[in-house]
Amino acid sequence: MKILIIEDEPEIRGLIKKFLLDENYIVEEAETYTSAQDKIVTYEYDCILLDIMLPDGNGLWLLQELKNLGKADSVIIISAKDSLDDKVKGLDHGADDYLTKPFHLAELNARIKSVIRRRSRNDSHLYELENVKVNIQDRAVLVNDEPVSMNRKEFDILIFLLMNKNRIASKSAIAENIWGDYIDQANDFDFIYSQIKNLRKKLRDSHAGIDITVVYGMGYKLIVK
Amino acid sequence: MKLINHTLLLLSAILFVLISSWAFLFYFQLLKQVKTIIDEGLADYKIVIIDKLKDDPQIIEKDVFEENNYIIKPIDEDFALQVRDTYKDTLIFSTLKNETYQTRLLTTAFSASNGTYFLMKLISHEIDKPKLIQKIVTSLFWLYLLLFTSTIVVNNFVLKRTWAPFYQLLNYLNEFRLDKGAVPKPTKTKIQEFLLLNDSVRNLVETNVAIFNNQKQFIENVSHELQTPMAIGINKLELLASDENLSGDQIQKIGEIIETFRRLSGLNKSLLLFSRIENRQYISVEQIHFDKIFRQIIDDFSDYTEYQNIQIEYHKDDDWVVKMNKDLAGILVMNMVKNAIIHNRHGGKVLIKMFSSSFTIENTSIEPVKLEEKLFERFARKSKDNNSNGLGLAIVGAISEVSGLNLSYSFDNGKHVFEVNEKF
Repeated sequence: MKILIIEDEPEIRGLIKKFLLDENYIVEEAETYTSAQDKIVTYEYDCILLDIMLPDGNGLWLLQELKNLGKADSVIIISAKDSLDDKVKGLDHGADDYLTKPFHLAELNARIKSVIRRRSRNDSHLYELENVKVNIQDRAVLVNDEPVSMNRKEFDILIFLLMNKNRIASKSAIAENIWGDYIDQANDFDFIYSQIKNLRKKLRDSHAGIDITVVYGMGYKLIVK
Repeated sequence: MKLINHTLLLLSAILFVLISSWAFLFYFQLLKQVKTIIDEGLADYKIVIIDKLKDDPQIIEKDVFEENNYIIKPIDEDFALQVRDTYKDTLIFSTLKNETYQTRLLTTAFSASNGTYFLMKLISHEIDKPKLIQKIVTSLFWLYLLLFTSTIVVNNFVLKRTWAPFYQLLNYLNEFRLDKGAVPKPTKTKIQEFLLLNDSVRNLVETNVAIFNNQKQFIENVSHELQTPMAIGINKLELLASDENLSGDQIQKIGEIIETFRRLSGLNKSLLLFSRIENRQYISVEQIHFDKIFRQIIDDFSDYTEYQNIQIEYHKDDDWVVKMNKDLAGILVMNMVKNAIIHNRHGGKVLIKMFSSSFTIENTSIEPVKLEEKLFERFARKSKDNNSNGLGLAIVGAISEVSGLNLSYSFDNGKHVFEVNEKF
């Protein structure tokens, strides 16, 4: 999987790169509009992370350029502008998703996986880890080929943690991902504990090969037993 | 008061004073003229009578005005020579009419052909002053009415034509919204003052639109500049936390720092939102169904309230449909519900009532009565609760303000009650 990071801020670019390399992606960088333009013309990417505020051009023009080139690379806009106008504009121009800075790396990870999954044609809506099979499209979970019933939130948390397996997912990252924008300013995220508790119980009861551990003071981590 | 009515009123008042004083002068002028004419008539009459009586050897003394309107009495020569013709106003009692009336009286003396002298007093016909005044007043009233109506017509015609560019400009200014930033279309006029006014307004608008855009850009830039280092901080710490060599205690500390960064970022977002609302950057309006928004937000908070053991009750009397910005409506409800939840006590209640043109949100609380006048100000909170950044209710206040909604607070029976209704 090849990812292009178009971002003028070197520190953010470096951080995202390091994170994505850990996730075993092939990562390329572009720090200006011009260099980004060169790269998208020459290569194909599975996902492009695009900062729309670039020193020498508007990132939205790159979306137009991709369209003109007839390329179907997935694009996630990462912007410091938390403006609905820009979000709507970006999505209208063909971006797949819009992420506002600052974001959790776990969230970025989940979004990248999700846009790549949506773009690919094969059975990528099936996710398998140890003896757990998850069908994202049908929202079904199978452990040892036995169905395990889960409510909407438990399922969403499981997906989010699966995409970030072996990584710490902070409580706020989980809350923002599952409960959305409304909750993101609440500071007490302990309320997600009850959902996690149920999810853990279901995984354990069905003898799943994965488990959710508590990282005290940070959040949760999905690990292979 | 409309300009047209103002000028009309002013003109009518001036006309009234002018016509009244003119009526006064006119009356005396007319009266003088009438008297002159009457006096001339009396003089002629006197000659006729004297001519008639002069040669009459037997002039009969008359001391009552009868049908001939004169009295005659003999006088001695000395007295007669002193008498000059005098005209004066006098009141006569008419036995016929049984009333006194005003006439002109001519006093004169003459000598008969036999050498005797006579004093003669002649009276004219009645001078009906009240009637005269009445006539003058009625005709002047009609004149005034005529002038008044013509003033209205002229005003409507002339003023409306003359002030047309002004009204166009006024209309434009009334509809002008800084956030829309339109520049006035120059109205066609040859009047120098209006041309100048148009130019001034255009300059003013252009400058303000430029400043507004500048400021908007500045706020967004500040937010951008602040979000980036915060993003760097959060993401660096997240990468650091994934280091296998860290102890649980160290990871916990990193978690606390991430939390602080997140709070900072939330505050920054709220401040940005606040400035955007106050700068009226949320322009588009649509039909908002508050019922739908409440149901959505109560559902969003359901896990949180369940965890806090707070019960949310929702009573719908009627759906309130109002025209406002969709995002602002969502933020308004979210902040109010959140306020009712986080300032609640464990096991408390939130009661939401929806009516056809208002809603109320009541919540139990451990906190005492809030300072009402400072409630909707920024950072006016007293609690040191980390859940509150001190901007929630200020944002609610700002949204109500720009959306034409009325927001009020009361403390009733140990409950904090917030009400939002339409401003009339």
